[in-house]
Amino acid sequence: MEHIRTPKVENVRLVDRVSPKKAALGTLYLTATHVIFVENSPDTRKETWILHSQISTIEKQATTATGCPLLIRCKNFQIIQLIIPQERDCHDVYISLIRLARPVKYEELYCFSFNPMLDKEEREQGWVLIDLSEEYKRMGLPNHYWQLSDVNRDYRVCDSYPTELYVPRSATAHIIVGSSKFRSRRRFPVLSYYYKDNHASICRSSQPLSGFSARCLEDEQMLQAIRKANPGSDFVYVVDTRPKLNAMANRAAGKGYENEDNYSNIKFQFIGIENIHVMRNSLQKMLEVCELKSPSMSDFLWGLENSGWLRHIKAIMDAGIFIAKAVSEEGVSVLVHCSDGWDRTAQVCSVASLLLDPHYRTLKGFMVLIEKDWISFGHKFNHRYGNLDGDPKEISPVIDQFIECVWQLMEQFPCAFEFNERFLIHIQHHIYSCQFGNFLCNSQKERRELKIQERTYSLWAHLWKNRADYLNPLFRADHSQTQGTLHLPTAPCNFMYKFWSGMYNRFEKGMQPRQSVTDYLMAVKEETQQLEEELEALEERLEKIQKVQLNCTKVKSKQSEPSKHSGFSTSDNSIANTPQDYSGNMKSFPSRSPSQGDEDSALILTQDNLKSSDPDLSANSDQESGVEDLSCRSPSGGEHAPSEDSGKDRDSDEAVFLTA
Amino acid sequence: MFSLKPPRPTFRSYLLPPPQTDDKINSEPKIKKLEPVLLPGEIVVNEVNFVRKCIATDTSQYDLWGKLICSNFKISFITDDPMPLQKFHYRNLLLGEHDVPLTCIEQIVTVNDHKRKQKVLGPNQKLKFNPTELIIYCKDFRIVRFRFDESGPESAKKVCLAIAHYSQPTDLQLLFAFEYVGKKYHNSANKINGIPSGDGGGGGGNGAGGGSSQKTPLFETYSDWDREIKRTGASGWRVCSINEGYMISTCLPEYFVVPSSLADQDLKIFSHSFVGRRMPLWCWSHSNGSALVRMALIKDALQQRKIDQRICNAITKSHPQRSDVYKSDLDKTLPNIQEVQAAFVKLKQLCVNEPFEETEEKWLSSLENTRWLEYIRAFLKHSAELVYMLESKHLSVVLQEEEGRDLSCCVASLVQVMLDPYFRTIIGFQSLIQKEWVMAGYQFLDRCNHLKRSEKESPLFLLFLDATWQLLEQHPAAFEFSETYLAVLYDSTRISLFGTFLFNSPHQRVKQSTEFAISKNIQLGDEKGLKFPSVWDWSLQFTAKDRTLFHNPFYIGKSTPCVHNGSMKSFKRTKKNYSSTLRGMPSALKNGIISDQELLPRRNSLILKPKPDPPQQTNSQNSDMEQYFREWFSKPVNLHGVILPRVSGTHIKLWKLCYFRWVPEAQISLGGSITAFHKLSLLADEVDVLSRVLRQQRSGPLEACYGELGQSRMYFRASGPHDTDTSGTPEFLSSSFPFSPVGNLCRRSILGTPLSKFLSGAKIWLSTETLANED
Repeated sequence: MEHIRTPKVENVRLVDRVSPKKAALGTLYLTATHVIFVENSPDTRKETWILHSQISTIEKQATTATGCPLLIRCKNFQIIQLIIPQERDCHDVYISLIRLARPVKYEELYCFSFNPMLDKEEREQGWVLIDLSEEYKRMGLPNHYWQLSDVNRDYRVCDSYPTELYVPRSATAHIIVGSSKFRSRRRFPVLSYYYKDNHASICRSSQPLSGFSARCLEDEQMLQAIRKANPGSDFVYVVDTRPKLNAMANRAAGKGYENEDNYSNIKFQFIGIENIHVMRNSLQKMLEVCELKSPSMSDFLWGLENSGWLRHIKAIMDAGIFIAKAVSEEGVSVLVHCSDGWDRTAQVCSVASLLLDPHYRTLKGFMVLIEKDWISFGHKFNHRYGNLDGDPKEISPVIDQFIECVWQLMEQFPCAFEFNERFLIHIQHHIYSCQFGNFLCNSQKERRELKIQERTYSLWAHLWKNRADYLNPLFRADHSQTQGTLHLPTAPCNFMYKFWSGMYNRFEKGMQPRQSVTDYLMAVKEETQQLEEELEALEERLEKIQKVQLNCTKVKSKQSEPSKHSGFSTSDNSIANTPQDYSGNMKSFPSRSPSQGDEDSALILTQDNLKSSDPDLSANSDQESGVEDLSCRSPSGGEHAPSEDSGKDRDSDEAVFLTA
Repeated sequence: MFSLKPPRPTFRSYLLPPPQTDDKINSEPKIKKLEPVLLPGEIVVNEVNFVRKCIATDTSQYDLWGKLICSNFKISFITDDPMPLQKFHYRNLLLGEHDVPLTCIEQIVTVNDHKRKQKVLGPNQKLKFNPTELIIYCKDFRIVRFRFDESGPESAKKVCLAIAHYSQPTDLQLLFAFEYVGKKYHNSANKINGIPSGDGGGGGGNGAGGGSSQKTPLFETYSDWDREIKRTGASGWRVCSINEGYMISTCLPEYFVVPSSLADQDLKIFSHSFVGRRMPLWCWSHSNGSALVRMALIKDALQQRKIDQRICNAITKSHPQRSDVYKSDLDKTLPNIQEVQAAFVKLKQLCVNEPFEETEEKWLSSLENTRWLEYIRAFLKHSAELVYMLESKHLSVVLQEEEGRDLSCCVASLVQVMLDPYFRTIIGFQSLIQKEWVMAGYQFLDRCNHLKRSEKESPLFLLFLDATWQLLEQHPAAFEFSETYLAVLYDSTRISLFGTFLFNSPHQRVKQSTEFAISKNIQLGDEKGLKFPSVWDWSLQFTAKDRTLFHNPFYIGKSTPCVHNGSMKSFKRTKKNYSSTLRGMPSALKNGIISDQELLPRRNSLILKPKPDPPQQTNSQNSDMEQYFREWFSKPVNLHGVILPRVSGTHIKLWKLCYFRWVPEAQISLGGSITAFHKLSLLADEVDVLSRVLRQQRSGPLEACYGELGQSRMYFRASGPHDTDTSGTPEFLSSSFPFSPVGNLCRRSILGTPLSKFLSGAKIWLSTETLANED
């Protein structure tokens, strides 16, 4: 709080990005965690919230007659332009935000104050939702070839690696430690993914400290051990994901790459993915294109090409495809590294795993994948995403690129992923938001020291709880397309990759499809489900009523033969018999056989019941066709509304707001 | 060469001996099957046996053996060999799998490997060498290659020359449609009016759908125009028949619609002042009374102001609010037809000819250099601006263009597609093409370059289809048809059997076919010219099942009562709080990430929309227009109202199905948007089936409904009631579906010279690949 020079500024204008002449008048609030702009307009009172941790840059522009403009660019690609009437206020806001956006201690981050109103138990459960030891078990480990090693207990060998690591059985502690001494930051080769079907594996490490001629027997033995762990193949691919020039330059610093002559049975391969600095600049250039108001074709296409962004995406994909093909088609194990083995290596290993294993294309599997290849293996989230104030040269959109690779794959295989675009966007958002503890720090060691799990909440639990929002309605787990390896051409051409406007332009009004097909389908799907549930409830009720009335109806029906008949014939013309037809068609509907109970009375009851709940039902359905039918046909009365939807969630929001 | 092929016993027996021996052919029963399937009036001009059709660029192992035939309609390759590598074939009933209609041929190149010679064959040219290879470059971007290593050199040469000759006819009447329709008339000479009804000649044809008996209005008659006036509710407009018998203009239809206040006599006088005597033609009226009108320039400088004034006054008078007229000079605002053509040529080179390694790094800028997307964007943008004039400003719009028969066709159509949901149905779209293209005198003959001697070639019609595709891509649920339909429609312009896209004007059809009829002694009776088959009679090309691929599973039929205060009725149930739907953003997210639900649209359909911004007072028209677009985009789309395109560079995309369908590198097996299309079709079909079940009287058992599968409007169908879960993605689906790149894009060779260089006349030209295979 001490950094907030002025908590509230009135008569601030929020400039509309599309038509700058329009601006909403309102009040700007600075809190410990957010910048909040509340419009004055009484009927909307629209609020714009920006997390401090999302702020990328703040720019104070030249004062004009109307006031002092302040431009805030966010890490989630939102751009906010404010005009503050008084220069002094603007300066105060500017200075406050500069400090607030760059916290120096982890404790200042939002996740330590964020409270989603869950009790301790729920929080703990949230943290165990994604369990890596379960994941290795799922892969089929440990087995005859691979074992869990405790060599990195207490991070003794490598402080950026996790404690639980899988290594070849034949790799002794001596070999591992020896190899670790010959690798940058002691990141020795370990297993990332094991392909059950043919024993091939993806391993990862950092670059060897080979310089121009250095060798290390243990490191050579380590690679030998990886090869032996795959009896089907007599060599190992070593993939260096750097451009050859970069790798060679590293040799001068005593680092470098494996010499094929020193290692028996390896095939060495460069796949040129550029370094974090190139990527950072590339994104910057692309975002400049995104900021254009209404780009012409040439603005857009030239800008996009010159940014090189899609070319970099393609390079990462190509590497992933190469590895996936080596593993699945050739049955050859692959060792992947870059320089330190925590950026490009993480990208490439996770893309390859995603291509190979349909599990990673599910909601939970994708969380596991990020947990494994990124969080546990020491991807430097804090440095790359600038959570704490640090060296701006360390910042780079490494995981953003991976997330985009996934999106590109989703575009090419719309039915192969259980999750949707929103899922990716929300993950991206939270990598920067620091609202959850998952992506804090640079390594598992740091996170444990900080007791992250005891003090913060897990994003995975949060996403899982709201999974209904993240499902791809086109995904069916049992379909052939969603099983096995995704079949891509060996190196898909550039034109396969598209600009992801849903991510980079997501805050541009009018840029997004208003009626996304996915959303539409999800709505239909959800409504169908609601209807099914409703039907079930109705049928249950019906059965109860039936039981009560059974005897009396039996008596009555004998007396009132004619009226019963007329009831029957009207039901022919209306669709009072819907539930019966449905139950024949959809498995999920509880089936009622016609012989059940007293048929006639049951029919009459059904009809009445439906009529009361939906007056439009019979009138509409005959003229309708098309997808909308599903939703049209549902009862629209309010009496069946589930009452569970109280203001509970909102309350928790406000609680946070207040504590802030 | 032959030895490289995997042994094929059936062929070995007749390939090894000299090929021309008849007795050998007789001894081989299979050879008898190699007969072409000919249409009425189609004759084989020349043929050659033992031809190899190349399938892959880099290997000859998949090559097919058979007979190459040139008829007066097509090139046909007849083979017994099954097509390798191909999992699906979308069959055109008029053409065999390997056939190319003559009008689809762009360029014919003959090659002799041994002499290292190649020649582009024009009509009536001589060929000084015996070709070892024939490469056909097609207008639909295909490249088909044949090799003559085992065929008789003279017959090979003759076939090549025949193809060159027949694909580049000197006269319109040599196009196959004449021969075909002539034969039809002769065959049915005893029938009234020459042609049996319902047989192609009827023109209207069935809609794409199985059950639909609706016909496409052709706008050849007074009543079609009259109905269109009534359909749009236009008042102050009348059908004018002064051009009956094409007495006034040979490039106008016989009937068209004019302001009621203009008398025939005045029109006759005015007509002389217009280029091509193309006086103002009504296209369409908005329900607010604003009309869309197209006309040619007034060439008479002296009269210009006066006539212009009279016309504008008349249009104003026809407006219920007497609103002003907004004039749009298309020649000044849009690229001209030469520019469009140049862009298309570059696009084609980019998509097909150049090996992708070359363009790899520069793909986006190369795409931009073609200007194609920029032109699409320009047309869409301008059309959207006119929509604003008609819809929001309540102004009548006059499209002005020199002749008023090129850019006007495209703009008039796009405006109507955006404004009128009827034109987004199959029948409506077809009627639009009849109205604004065929009848309005778009010069299909010249622009498609059917006679291959025209400098006037320009793919404006394709540009229109592409722009429509952009709209379809942006508003998938607003169109009854699919992108396959658009692609197939484009292909149909290359089939010279149909009269629809064959002529420069309706008058040309009448004149030419009357001449033809007289020369062939065909009695025309009361008819004005011969009745050619219409493209809209899709049953001539595709089976009922295959036509269902035209249907878009996203489409929400008009009968659905969904328009209600701008939001869809079925989604109006916002009061009913669904547990996870209406909570808006998940709680934690709301805190900071998405303060405004609108920013991250999710399930729009179910979220109550914020009120649109109140209109602001601004002076300039531009910001008014901007405001209109902004407002439109901030509201949920009413699929049965106006749809507008997003036209920033970010949103205009390359129509991959059309341009990339033959490119093997672009094919994603079991991927692409077709997989989503497939899933949605299943869903839509299931819904259809269920609605039928609902509607059915209790009498019939459920199975009967599934028995009526013939009625389905979807190509992919949900399986029966008891196993809806078994429908996996079919193996044959790929991003090119329903087309297949196999054998359709045989670039000469990866090792060979890029075609761009080749076409610009590089002399030294040799395929190392071919020679390497040559032992």
